[in-house]
Amino acid sequence: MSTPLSSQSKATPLEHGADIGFRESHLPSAEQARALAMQAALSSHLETQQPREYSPLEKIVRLGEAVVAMRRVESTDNEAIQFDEQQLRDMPEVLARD
Amino acid sequence: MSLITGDVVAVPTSLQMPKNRPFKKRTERELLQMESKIGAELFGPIAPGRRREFFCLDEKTWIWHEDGTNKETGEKEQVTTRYEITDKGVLKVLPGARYSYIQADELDNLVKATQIYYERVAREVYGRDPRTGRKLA
Repeated sequence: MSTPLSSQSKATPLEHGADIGFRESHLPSAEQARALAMQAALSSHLETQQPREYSPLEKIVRLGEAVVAMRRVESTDNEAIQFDEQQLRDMPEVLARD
Repeated sequence: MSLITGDVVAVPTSLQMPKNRPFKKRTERELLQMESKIGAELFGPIAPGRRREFFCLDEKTWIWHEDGTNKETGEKEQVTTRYEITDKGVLKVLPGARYSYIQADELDNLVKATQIYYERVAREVYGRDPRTGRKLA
């Protein structure tokens, strides 16, 4: 393989790139690259689909935040605030009993 | 509770949860009192002459309070416990500057109490589905 470094007259540590194991043949083929990308995407998807486990501490904090959010929205002290249901998107996991 | 919301001997009828909604707008203080009424029920029956409060003060503070008259001595007694959520754990703060991080069963019980509190308060005070936040029909 011709690299910019291989045209240098004197050997440099970088010129020995081949000696540290790099070979063009080590690059994944297009098919392998696609398979790897798909695998990574699938892993990422499964990760986001799996319910997250909350620690006791995290649960108490999330529940407190949710209570305070509802209280603020419903009180006459804060007429302008709208309740954001997205704030409770993780509640099924938070409420999961051990 | 009295330190937070004033001396509440009995919840005024105007603050009791109506059986037939629609939900009426109230101040944060009034809502806190309604929440606390539910919180007090989470730990079993309250002995006659005693009063209990349990409520979420803010995102990281839960308060448990009980007062009444000691049957044996006739003296009035009260205990207020703050559960403060810190990065290291749940710090239990008792009168007399006594601090300790709760663990094991006590921590489990607090988690369960806060879960039930949230579920009941969401439904009974705010008329919302606790899992989605959507208004209940």
